[in-house]
Amino acid sequence: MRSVYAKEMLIYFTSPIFYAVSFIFLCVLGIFFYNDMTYMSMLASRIAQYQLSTGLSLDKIVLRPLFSDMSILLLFIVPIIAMRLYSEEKANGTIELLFTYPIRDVDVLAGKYLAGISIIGILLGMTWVLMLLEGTVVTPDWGLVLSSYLGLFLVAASFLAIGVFASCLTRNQIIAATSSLGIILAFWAIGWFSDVFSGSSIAKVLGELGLMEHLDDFLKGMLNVKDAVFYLLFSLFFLFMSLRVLESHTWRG
Amino acid sequence: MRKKTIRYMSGTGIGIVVFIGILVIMYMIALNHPKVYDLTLNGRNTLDVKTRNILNSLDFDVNVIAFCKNDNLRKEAKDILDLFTYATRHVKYKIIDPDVYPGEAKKYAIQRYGQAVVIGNGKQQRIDSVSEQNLDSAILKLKEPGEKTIYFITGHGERDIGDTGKDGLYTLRNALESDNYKIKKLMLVRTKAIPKDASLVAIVGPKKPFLPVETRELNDYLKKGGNIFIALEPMEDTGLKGFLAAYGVVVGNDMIIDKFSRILGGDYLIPVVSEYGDVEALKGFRYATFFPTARSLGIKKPLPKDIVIKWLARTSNQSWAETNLDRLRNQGKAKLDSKDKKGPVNIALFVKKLNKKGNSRARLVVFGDSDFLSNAYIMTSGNEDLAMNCMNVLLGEQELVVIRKKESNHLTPLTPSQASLMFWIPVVIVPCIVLFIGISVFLVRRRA
Repeated sequence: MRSVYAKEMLIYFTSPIFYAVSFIFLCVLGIFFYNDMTYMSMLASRIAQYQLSTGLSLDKIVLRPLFSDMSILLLFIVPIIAMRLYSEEKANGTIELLFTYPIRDVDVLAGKYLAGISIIGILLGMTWVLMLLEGTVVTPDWGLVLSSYLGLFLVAASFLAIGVFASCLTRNQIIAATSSLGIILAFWAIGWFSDVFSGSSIAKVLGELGLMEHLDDFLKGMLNVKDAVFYLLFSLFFLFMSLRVLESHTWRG
Repeated sequence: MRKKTIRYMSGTGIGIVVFIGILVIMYMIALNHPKVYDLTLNGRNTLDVKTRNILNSLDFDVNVIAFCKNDNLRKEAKDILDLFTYATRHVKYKIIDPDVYPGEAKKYAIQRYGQAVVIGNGKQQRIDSVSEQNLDSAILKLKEPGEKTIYFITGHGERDIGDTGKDGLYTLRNALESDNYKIKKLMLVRTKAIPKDASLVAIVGPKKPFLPVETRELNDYLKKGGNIFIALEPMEDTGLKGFLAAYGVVVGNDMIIDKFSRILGGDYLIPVVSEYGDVEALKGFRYATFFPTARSLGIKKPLPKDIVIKWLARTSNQSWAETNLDRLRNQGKAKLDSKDKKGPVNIALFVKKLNKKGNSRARLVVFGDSDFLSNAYIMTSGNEDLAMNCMNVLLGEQELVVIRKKESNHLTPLTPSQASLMFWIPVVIVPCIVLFIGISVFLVRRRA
């Protein structure tokens, strides 16, 4: 597993995709951050000018929208990070080699998944610059920041599991990325359907299946064990499905 | 070969179904054993102590149906209702769109978006919006077998509970009614005794003296285990000195002067209290309270038999009780001298009269000021909370005692240099560093 992990990390760091994705992610997020901060500044001036007591806080104006934007950006970026994990091996024909190596499928999968997770961790880690910058102006609620990062990490891990699954299905990286994006969007949209059936038991089931519904509490500064368990089980399900797809190669011939 | 494939396929299919089953069971376990931790530093996602007390003492199921469109109102309602469901299994809720389910909306006489109905204990309560305060109030109304009644004494120039002007008590009345109390006026001279349904008698800001027959009625009420809340004004003779002295309270003929309030931008005559006694009503209470023109209260020594007194609130040590009221009235000057009582000075006392078994029988809360309860001052800092906590404890409603949550961090305007940093570092510098590293790696690899 370690060797697979090391190989994948090396590929990530030497491929232009990681740097291009990081550049776009940080740049877009930076623009969102700047907008949120200037909006906060404008509101703060108005509040001071008219001596208003609004109950508005930094968390509501900057942090929650920023983390929410970050989750949407991850939705588009994680499929790109995940797309090459198996598709590239398939396209290059190295997947046959992988099957013949004395490494179990599960170890290969774990190595690749952990490498993807590490890349996501690095991406999220780079956004701490924004938190530190914000800290120079107002002290953010570090508890809320921590829970939001935990939530984002878990949701990104779920996206990645879907990405790995999609990558197992095809040799074409573009198809892998678009199909994983499609699956992620489907699980995102499920939450909206719960509103359509509001009040019924179908709404409850759909609400529980919605990927973004479980992020809400994290972004409010709460650690809801149920939501963390959901993301872990969700990731586990798609990793299990990926294993089944890989395993099918042996009996499909 | 085909048979083998079918065998593998069916094996995989069964494996997937079993695995999904295991995942669903695991998630159901997590769903049915909710554990939520509030990681925010100021406990913003934690329900108020008052709410938690109410929910902890719930012994029936409460169903809340909120009627919201799919908008911010729905999101806010969901946020609050989620906190209630995390706190207790007795509360369940659903949010429905009144336009999609007009029958339901009609059934509960819903007129506006955002309204909700709280159902439980064979009753139902409609609330205008889903807020913690409204839900508390509605649940209490479902819980209560009957309402507790507070009688406000009139006939001595007391502050009026119906008066919406700055001196009135209308705001206090609203707060009490939202905690499910029934408020009535009572003119003592017209009645032979205080009504039996009186859970609390309040005397707020009397200006004329009480007649002996009236103080006798108050005494009789206390002997039967009653509760009285008294808020006096300085420079007024209320005829209650003797009555209170029998319960160990010495009403000072003075005015509290507080230099500390000047530091806070107030007047010398508005003492600020930030120190509270070790009593149940004020455990964890840390908010400053303001008492415009107050008199001091002393504790009689030795104390009358079976009386226990605790101070509730006292002023800073930069204050004193000025006894030279003529000079203060005529010249507007005050100076600490040997006749004056040096601070800290008691501004509120809690009195208990014990029965033979040592249990509390009658309870009294006495304040040396009544302005802090008026419409003009009750919303100042912690004034309302202090008054409500004292009344709730007198009424035996410990669960209604409020410990207000801290405000969250405030917004600050950016300076021009900060604004430019907020642009250059995240939008340009950091992404460009990443891009530079990427290009360097690419060049090195190409050379290699």
